[in-house]
Amino acid sequence: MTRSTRTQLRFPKKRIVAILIDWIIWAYLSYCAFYLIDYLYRTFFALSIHDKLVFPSYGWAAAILGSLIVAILWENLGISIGHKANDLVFLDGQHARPSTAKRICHAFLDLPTWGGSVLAAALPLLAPIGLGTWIYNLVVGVGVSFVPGITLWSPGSWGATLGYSLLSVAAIVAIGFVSVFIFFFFIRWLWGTRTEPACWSDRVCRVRLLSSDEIPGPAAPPRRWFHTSVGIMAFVLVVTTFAVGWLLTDVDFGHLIQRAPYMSSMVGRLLSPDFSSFVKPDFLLNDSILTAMVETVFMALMATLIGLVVAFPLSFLGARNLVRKGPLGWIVYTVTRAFFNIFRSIEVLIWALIFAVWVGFGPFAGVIALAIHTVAALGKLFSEQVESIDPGPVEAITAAGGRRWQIIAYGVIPQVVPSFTAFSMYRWDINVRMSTIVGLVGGGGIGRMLFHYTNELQWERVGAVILIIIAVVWTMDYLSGRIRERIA
Amino acid sequence: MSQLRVEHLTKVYERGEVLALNDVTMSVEQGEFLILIGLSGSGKSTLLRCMNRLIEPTAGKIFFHDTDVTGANAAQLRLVRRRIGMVFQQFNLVKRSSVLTNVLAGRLGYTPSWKSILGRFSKQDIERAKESLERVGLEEKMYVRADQLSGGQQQRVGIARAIMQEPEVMFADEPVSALDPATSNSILQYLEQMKEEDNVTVICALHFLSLARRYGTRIIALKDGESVFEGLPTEIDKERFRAIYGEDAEEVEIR
Amino acid sequence: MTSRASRDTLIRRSWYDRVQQVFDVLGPQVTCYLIDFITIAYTIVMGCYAYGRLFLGVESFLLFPWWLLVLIAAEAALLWETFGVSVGMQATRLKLLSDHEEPGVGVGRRLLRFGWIHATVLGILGAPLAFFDRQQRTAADRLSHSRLHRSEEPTEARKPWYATSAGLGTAVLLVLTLVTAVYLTEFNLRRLFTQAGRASIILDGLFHPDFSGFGEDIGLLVETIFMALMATLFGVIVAVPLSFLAARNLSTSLVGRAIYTIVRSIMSITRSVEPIIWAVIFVLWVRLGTFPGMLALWIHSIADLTKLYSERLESIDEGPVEAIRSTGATKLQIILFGIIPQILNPYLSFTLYRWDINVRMSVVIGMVAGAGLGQKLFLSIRYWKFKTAAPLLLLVVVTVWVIDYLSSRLRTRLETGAAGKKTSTTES
Repeated sequence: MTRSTRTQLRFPKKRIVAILIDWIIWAYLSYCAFYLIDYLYRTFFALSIHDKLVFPSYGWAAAILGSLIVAILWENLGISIGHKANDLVFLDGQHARPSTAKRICHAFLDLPTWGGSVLAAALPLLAPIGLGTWIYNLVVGVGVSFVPGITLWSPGSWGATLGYSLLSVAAIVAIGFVSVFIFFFFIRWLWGTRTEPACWSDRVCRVRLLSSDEIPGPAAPPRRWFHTSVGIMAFVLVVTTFAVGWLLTDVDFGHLIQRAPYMSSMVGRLLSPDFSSFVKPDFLLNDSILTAMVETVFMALMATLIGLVVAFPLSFLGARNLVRKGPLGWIVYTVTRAFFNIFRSIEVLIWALIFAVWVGFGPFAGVIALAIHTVAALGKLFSEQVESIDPGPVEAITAAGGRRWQIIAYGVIPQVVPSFTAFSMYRWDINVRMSTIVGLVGGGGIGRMLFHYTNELQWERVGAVILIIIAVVWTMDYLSGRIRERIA
Repeated sequence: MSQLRVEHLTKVYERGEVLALNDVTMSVEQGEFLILIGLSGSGKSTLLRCMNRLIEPTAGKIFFHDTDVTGANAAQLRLVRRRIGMVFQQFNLVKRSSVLTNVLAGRLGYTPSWKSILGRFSKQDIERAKESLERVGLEEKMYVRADQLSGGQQQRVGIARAIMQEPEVMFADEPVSALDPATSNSILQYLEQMKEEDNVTVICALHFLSLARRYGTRIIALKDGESVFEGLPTEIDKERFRAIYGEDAEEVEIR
Repeated sequence: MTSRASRDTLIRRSWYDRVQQVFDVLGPQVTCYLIDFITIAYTIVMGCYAYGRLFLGVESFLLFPWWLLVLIAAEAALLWETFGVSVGMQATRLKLLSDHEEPGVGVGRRLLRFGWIHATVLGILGAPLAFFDRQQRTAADRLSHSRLHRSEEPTEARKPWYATSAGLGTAVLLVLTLVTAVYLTEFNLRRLFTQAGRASIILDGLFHPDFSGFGEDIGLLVETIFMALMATLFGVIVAVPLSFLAARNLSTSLVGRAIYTIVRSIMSITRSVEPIIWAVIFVLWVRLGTFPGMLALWIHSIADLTKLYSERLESIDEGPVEAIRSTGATKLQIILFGIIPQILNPYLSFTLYRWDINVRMSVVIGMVAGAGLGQKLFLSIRYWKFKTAAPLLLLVVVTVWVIDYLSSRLRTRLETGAAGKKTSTTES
């Protein structure tokens, strides 16, 4: 990588983020427009329920492309949200706002610049696609080919296959080299000079994109929000989102109020709780509220303990400052972090669903589900904490000649123990809440009773269960808050 | 007729454990530069804050001209407060707001509530703000965020905010304790300028006796919540100095 | 130097102050005893359960009548407090101090104390004496010349946990809890593997996703995200004004304090009930669909946001507020100019955090409310159609991950501000 390619890659990151933000904003607005038009048609013009507005199949592609074009226009003709967010301002050679003519010219040239950049960026993908196609075709048994969709040579004898494969690989390598070369040449031409990073359209129109603290001179007075395109756009976005959201989620407070009388009897029953199953086991469920609650709390306990024990060592693998430098370390770090993220993204209840199917209904499924989510969540919190420790003690112990585990044991762990404990208490809190509802999907605990009574419409008992849940959760909350206060 | 009068002011904290002010009586005339000195915890800040009732006194009375500040209701108190400008040790600017907004906040005592909801100030107020900023030499920093200024600049913004109130009295609670010596002098010079040009009475709590001698027309010294000395700066000799600051204290010149 | 007499007349201790002081001293003692009592009772119960399950094959929490348990626990707690350093004493930082100048308390005096506490029925009969005592000692304290008071900074080294009775007691408690937990939750890792047949069906389905209904899935995803979005937006609208009522530093009048307590309590209670329970109630209230899900999330969001907002409000920098007060501004002006600029960014940050959580929750609420991804996910997993569930899970993971990433990036930006300096901290 020559120095010019390095300097030129400084800016495009911000500009790429900016154009992406603007593009997504306009694509989102076009989706909202589609939705609103469709809704209006269905409400006012449709003749029957099945009469729907049919958008042409190329509609989506057109919308996406159109939003890109509008985004580019916006960036050039005003100050877009993307630019504002990344702190970029268009200026001409004399550090003033460029004239309208220049800006229109720049807008027109921006289109091929970005289009060209995207095409050029797509070039290096040709080789991997070819490789993938060749492997896939070979494995599936369709034949030998490096072009997806077309079988160049049908399967034949071993020798023929081998020969054609070698030809394909050679072709792929050749394509790879050529495309990468064109990529670098093109990107260098479009995006850089040796003295100053600027793209082709910038150079032709003689404008520059600077960040606002590089502008000399006093700060300009801020304009009122409805005078700036950012302000207007933000306003439009909020209003549109609100409107689309309202319609999409079927908000109907009128219906809510209308049905209130029907609810009053249920609420009345909810508020006169029936504690008959508190100590005495319920006949159908073979469980009393007390035992179910105890089971629930212990489920949370087990899950938190397991989560803590497993997440503790894993968190060190997920901390960038502790894994070994080099590709192996990076892989370990990425895999651990990815594991945390993926397993955290699936909610506890979904895990409980899956495990209820796997190991059968009962508190065990609930514990496993809670534990997995706890491991992922605590792991993430722990590793972030490890990454933000004071490097001082670590340095000191390394300098004194400590081995890796000693550094961790004496330099890292003492620093993170208070926050680890705080996080664990926080997680324990959450787990208690979650364990009250895993019973819905077969996870055991008091959720089972709660949802059973709900299904049977026995609201007095539901009220009793909810009261107990509130009491227990609130107590746990209070206790964990006090303990966290004491540790901090 | 004294402008500000304090009678038997007492302030007690923590259910009687801490006696911050003990039966302090004093009066202030128009046009004075009164300086309060004393050790940390001697009650200087508490005295100032009691005088505009930022802290509620436990016993005693405070009179501003003829108004009884201690017995005033909320509306009267606001009228009193807007005639008293105040600068603070930690500058107390709203960090995220611009300098202009911070200075304009000084005019809030004169702006009715409903106007403030829109966040708009009258053109005159904005003009006044610009003038105040020019007076402290910060007009090019008008739209800059307050926390991007240096300590000295922030304190000048604080002074500009106080000027906006067109006050009769200025309270300064250790305005220069967080600043270096050179900046301290310039800040106190602004206060002196206000006294000379606008006939504003200044009551300033300070740490350093040298600054007190340089700027003060009268000095009141506090120790353990009581007033132990009241008189001209020149009257503080070594004896009195020891009485105020304690047996082991020695004076250090700050230039 | 003020004379002692005038100082005392100034400090005029009202009886209200006296009551406060008594509570300050007796309160921790009561808490300490309660902690010890509960710890011992709990350990005994756990022990019974473990013993029952391990050796008697019976599932029972109490192997003897409950009044015996209470008696044993009460006596044991008292013994522990008088003759050692109990868990409660460690937690409340109390120590047994002698009235005379000697450093420790001898065994004889301890026995005396033990006896007198029994005589005064756990010290209750002698408690009112504390009102009149300078150091708030009860009758039992006076008679045994010892008291259980907050100790000053420790002068001796802290002993490691295994050397103290409190530490050992806690360890025993933890071990017994673990044993009980394993039995109570039917924890049996082998079940994961004996049911391997099911596992292979599940994994097989998950790794062969069926993308035929993907368009519909995307539509459901949009529904889910909007459900979360609307719940957050509506939640913010209600939570922001509510947070001002629930902030301790803004509610100084008597009415204000009452409102503060009420609002805080209601929010606390609402937060204890998971949104899915609210969803069940709302489904019965309005028809199935996204609306009840949104309502359930809305209620929970209000409670959570109010808590976060008001906690932030309680920790603002009071300096600028004081300054604006001193210019003669009205309460409204103080809020607008002194408080709101400080909290705008943190409030936005909390809102983003809540939206993130709401998106996760709305996937799950869909199960109950019959809308969004949750519904389809629930049905496909329940009926073993893991092929259909796979693309849904993929969508969920990708969406939640992206939103999580974006929200944490945005929140870091909000905290560091344009100047690049850290101005506040938020929970992650």
